[in-house]
Amino acid sequence: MREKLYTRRQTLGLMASMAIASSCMPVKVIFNSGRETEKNDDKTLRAFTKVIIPEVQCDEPGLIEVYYDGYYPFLKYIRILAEDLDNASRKNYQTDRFSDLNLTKRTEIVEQKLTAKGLTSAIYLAAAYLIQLSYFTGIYSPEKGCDLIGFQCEDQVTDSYPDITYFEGTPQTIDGNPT
Amino acid sequence: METNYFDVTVVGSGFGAGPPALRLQRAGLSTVVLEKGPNIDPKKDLKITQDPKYLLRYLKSLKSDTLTMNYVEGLGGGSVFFEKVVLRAPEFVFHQKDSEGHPLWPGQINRKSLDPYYKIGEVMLRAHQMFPERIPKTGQVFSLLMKKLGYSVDRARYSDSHCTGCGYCVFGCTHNSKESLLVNYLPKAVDHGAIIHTDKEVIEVRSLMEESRQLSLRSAGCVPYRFESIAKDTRTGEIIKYRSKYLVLAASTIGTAKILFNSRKNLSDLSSQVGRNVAINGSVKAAAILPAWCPDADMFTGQSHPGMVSYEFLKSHGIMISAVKAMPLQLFGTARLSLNGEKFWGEDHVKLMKKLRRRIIILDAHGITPPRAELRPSKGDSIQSKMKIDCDLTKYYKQTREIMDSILVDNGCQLINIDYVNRKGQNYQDLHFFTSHQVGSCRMAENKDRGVVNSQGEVFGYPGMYVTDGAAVPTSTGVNVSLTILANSERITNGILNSIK
Repeated sequence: MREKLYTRRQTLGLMASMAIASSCMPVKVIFNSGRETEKNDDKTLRAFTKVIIPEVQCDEPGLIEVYYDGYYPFLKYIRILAEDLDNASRKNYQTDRFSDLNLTKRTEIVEQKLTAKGLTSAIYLAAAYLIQLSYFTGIYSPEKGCDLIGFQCEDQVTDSYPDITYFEGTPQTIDGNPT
Repeated sequence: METNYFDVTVVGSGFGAGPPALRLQRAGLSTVVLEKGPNIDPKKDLKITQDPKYLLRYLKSLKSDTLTMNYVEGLGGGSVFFEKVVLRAPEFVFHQKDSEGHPLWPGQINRKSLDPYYKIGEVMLRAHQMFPERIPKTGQVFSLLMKKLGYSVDRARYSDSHCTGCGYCVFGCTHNSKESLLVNYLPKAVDHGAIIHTDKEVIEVRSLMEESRQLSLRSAGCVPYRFESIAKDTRTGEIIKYRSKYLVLAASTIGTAKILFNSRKNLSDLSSQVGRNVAINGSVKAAAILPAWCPDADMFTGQSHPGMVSYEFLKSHGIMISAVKAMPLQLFGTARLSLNGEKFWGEDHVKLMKKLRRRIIILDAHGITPPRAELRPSKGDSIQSKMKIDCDLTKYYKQTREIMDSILVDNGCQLINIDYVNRKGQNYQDLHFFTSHQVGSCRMAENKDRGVVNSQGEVFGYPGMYVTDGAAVPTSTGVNVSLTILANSERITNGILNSIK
């Protein structure tokens, strides 16, 4: 998990592409204050999460914590992902913010990105993977994701059917050891 | 630099290390156990959690494009995190031959000769056949599917007592009901006077006899301490030396090979076979949605292994089929499930995931795959793995999938795609095998050209140096390898004791 996701060469390449792309952006986007940018990134990432797992509530606490957790390698890609989503929103639907699109339009963008080639799909696949992993295992917010898949994060006891003979097949061994 | 002196140094603390640590100390030989990983106090350190940060503290993996090998670093080794399944390998396993027709198990080692040692291991681990009323629903449903098609199913054998069936076996048993080495071999060894040093990574070993011979200082017989293990304290970086008369390497298939790679400069007679011939018990999985006629399974409660196994194909096809009970972390961390033509994300995926606990069944086959994987030294003191997916492995995978798919489809199940992913969330491009059953990197053989140790586990060219863990086991066993590693270690330890007498 601590490994770098991309080589230095790939990252520089991507940053160069982003720089070229951002040169076409409205000035207000480039000169956004850091804090405001972070808030926008958050909103965009939450909107992205809603596409991957439509049952999430965008304001769920802990929902996108996994992207900011230094244990995972995604921190350095947050900006790239968020900007790329907003760029796609502008390009495809003339809407500044990805989070302002409806779910159908967002889904179309994410689908394109996940099936793109090279680095773009790699970042989107990683983002989808991390959110599915963290949400369904309930790492940051145990209730919602676990409920969705019927998983109780706490200690439980074996649940068996009482009619053993209905299920039991013919054994081939005397004691469970193969001969 | 601190130097410690013992009669026996045991490197590692898992299934291969337990018997020499206990038996040799009990025979009066002062014994030290060196474990690279941290101490594990089951009551304090083991947790019920799905947080990867917890599990990955102990669970490590070595990955290549085609193979992921999981192993454990922590006191008790794999015994703390295994699924508790303890099975004897079937007789035919010991008759496997290499491509040139040479038997892979040397020195007439077979099921019959190992049976007394299997028995010892079973007693130590309190092995017992699963009680029918404790089979979790997943196991019952798997049994039912097999029964409908007329296949045989057996209740497997487990090493536990007072299990509550919480389902967290592979996360470490917080109820202290798993019979890991933390509750038998290791504390008994300590009771007899053995010393355990955790957080000590053995970097390399030296043969003091060989060095004495080379320097012509004195006859080899005059060297009381024959081996030196150079260890690093993983917390402080301090280097500590351990000199001993006997050296037992039991640091796992990966760990033992790594130590010997690093020691090659000190061990000029070492076989060139170190790291080669790794067998992996090739695991193949298939998943499906249960048909309407079938009662619910349950992915999340009951012990990690669902209790029922089918040996039906073991003799005919070399595979043993059972069901899988994956906790969310295991599932979402390694694979993406999707229905044919549907996405692995979005509404389709959520719909599928809602069925995960009750209506999805995952089958797993462990198979007798040839020893084709390899470990190699890499940059610094690291190690890398390699396994070429050749025609044999492709054929094995295809045939095994066909059998499992037919079991599911013939029962009316709807098949689900399983796409394996790495820890970056990227799909593996080719066939990819996952295993925790890797063996054979320093395998037993008739001679140095075919293996690293003889049938008594002694390293060729180095009397008194032994390999007792999975590294010495020369073939896949089809079934879980834990008990075979333990039994073979008991057998080798018995040989050491006999040689001393």
